[in-house]
Amino acid sequence: MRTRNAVLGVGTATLVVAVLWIGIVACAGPGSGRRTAAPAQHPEVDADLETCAACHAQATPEIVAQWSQGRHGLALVECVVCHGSTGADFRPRPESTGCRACHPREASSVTRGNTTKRCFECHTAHTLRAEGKASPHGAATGSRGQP
Amino acid sequence: MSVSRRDFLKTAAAASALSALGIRGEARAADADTRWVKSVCRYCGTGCGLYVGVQGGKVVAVQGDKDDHNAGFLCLKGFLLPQIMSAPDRHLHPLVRKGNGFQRASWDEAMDLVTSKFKEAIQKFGPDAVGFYGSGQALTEESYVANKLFKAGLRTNNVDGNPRLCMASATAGYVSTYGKDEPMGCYEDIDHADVFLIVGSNTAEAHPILFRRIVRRKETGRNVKVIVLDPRRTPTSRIADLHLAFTPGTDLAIMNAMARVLFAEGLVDDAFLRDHVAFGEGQEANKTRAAYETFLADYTPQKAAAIAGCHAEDIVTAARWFGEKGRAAMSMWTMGLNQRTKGVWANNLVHNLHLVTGKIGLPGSTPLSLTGQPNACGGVRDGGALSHLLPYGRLVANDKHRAEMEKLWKVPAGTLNPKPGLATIDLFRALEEGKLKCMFVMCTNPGQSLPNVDRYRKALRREGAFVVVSEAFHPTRTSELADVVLPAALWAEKEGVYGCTERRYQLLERAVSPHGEARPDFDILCDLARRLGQEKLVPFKTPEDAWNEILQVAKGTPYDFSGMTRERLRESHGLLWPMPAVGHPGTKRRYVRGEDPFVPADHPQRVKFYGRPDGRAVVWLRPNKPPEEVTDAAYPMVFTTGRVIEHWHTGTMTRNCQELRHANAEALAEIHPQDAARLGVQTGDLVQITSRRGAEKFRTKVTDTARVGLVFVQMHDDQRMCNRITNDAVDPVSRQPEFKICAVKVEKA
Repeated sequence: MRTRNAVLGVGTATLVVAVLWIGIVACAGPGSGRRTAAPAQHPEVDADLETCAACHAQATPEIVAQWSQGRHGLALVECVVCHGSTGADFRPRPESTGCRACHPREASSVTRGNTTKRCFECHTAHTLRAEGKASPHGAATGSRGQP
Repeated sequence: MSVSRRDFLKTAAAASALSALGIRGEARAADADTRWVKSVCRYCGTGCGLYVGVQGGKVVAVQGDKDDHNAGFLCLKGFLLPQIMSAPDRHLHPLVRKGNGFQRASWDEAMDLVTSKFKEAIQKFGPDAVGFYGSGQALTEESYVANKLFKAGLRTNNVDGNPRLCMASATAGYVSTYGKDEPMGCYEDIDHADVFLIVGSNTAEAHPILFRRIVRRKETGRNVKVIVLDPRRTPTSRIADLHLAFTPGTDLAIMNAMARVLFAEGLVDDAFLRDHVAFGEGQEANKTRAAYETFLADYTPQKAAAIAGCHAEDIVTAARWFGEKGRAAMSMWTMGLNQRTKGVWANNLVHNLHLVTGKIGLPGSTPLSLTGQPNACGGVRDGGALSHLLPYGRLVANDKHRAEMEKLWKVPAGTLNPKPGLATIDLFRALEEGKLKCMFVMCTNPGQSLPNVDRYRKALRREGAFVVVSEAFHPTRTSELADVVLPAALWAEKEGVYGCTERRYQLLERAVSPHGEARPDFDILCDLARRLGQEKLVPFKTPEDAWNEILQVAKGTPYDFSGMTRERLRESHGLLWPMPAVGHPGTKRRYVRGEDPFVPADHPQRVKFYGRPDGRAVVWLRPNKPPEEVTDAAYPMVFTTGRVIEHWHTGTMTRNCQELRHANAEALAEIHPQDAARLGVQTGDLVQITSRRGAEKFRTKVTDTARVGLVFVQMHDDQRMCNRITNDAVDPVSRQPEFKICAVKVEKA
């Protein structure tokens, strides 16, 4: 049985570093301040019974905690929504076009000319908070008929 | 290239694998060439508005509709909808059974065969030898045509559908308490509620966008309380101020005890009880308030807690929060109450809490039953596509209603059979017994979704039975058993109306052409009608033709949505009935003076429950009763089933999404650590779960979110089918089966 502990316990030091690096880069998102020269890819993994978050709770616990305590975690917007699956389907840096699918109003309200301002410049990846910053969304923020 | 996680982490080759993999393009990317078509999510009954992004005749993206109730938000299933359209198991050509396999056929060949078999069965055995099994996922126009064709054309009331497995108890609950089906409140009530009572609902996973709205209310409201009644600690409990876990099947005792506390602590609304409420037992509203209070005397919190395996003080707390004067209380529930042999009673008891406190018909105070399918309400419940119903609140057994429908449908008096047809389980038992010869299954998967499913899988393959399945995917666990499998157009490939939980009707516009030779179910039904000589009854060329007739059929009923012309539906982002005229704004809260057009403006009170002859809703005296099957020495654990966020229903769509498969690969048996220790199993071990009806093997997930003595399995896995185990006993009123509770033994396999 591939328990999380068993899996994580057998990794070589090099690979643990690699996995941590993957996780950080994968989860950092564009504009988070942590830039890398080239986007990393996540090898295609047979996840078996585990979710992304279950493995990354060991590999990148801070990121999983940020997600879990944030709006996306509470609403169960899981890793795959922004990052895709593993392998060729993996998106290390979610594009703002992905955000638009669920946040069309907000995405539309932060334009510079014809270019969508990247969401993650303000919304720190995973926590998704934009504390202390004036909202550029104006009256568009929020939900129709909802607070 | 795929590696197991273990291998990936074990081998140094993984390091090179990092660079070997290519960079994936943005599958959901949309650009200036994208054409956006207004639609509604294909999945649950929340009915989230969205736009379908089309490029080159293909669905490439979705985007939430910011002007609809969901304010642009979609859950992860909705977000990934484009993938289902081009799934490798899309069914592209008609198939006809040859021996143990299928042979490709033309539409004419397949439909000729279907027509001849149905004609032959009716000629030899009468109209009730055939039946239709439909779906809360079909478009309103599709369910309408099927209902009209079978009831008025073929003259059988054997028209039922999967909402019988889902919402029948909620329907019977609303009808018995208020005299009319469907909720009186709306989603906007969430924004005003001070207390949420979520019972028998894992809202976070089953209705994520409504859960998001509840979360937002909890963040922004003043001291908003969330009470969750659920045997398991689900993700919904993350926002609970009180998670009241209990022994499955004992919530009737808890809710009666809550009502007792409300009376004992002066939290009832005496004026509301005096003006708007009657009391009843059995089927008669012939009791008094005093009789009700006497009935409740037996349900002390201590006694209920002993029955339910919970804390008495939690029951008291729940009642106090719910009943606190000046605070709005909203209840939500779904299959935890409905899929029970006492499902209607459980629904009645939720309504009782609102009625005794008067917390109903006010912003934030409403009992809102959450629906599981996108058009169970609009198409099947409202449209009357169940065996005992006729469209828009009419009953098969009611002479006046039948006469109305015969006039509207322009068929001779006496055409409609006065005897209700067979409800779902009875319909499949008739197939088993050979009384039902031909069945048309449309847009649903009973070969996986029925309780005690192996019994009915045999019935579907019984010698002499002829089963037609119209499906967008093949094989499914039903289509594999069929005699004819017709390729159905899927979601964005067709046009029609969906009606969701809050009486909101919305138009789904066609965005792309059907794959292969697939046809919309609407076209298939109209074709069948023509071949059966019913073209005069079903003369529709387009779904809009049918909709225009539906407007006439609903006109003058309490559902009246005459104002929902096709044009207005196209322009709007959802409209709530009643809406009896063009220009009417729609109705957020039924039965409320000033909002509901059927409550006179000069009505002396703020509400009028006009569904009942005396204008009073009924508080029902419903005693606690155990489930049909209780645990014993041979079957010592309780088995329950439910949803997870990643998948939907039988997984025919969500299992076609790589991300969703990745996120949730298979159905697991969730077992509490104490039970796991007793059974000697660990996470990942294979267990066999056996009930009196059948058995299935699952891998185990040991988790303290489970309750001791309870094993939970999700319902979506087509290979590990929980319904081999579930109970097909039904509620005597709603005829809804008790999926939620049965007795099992669990053994290490």
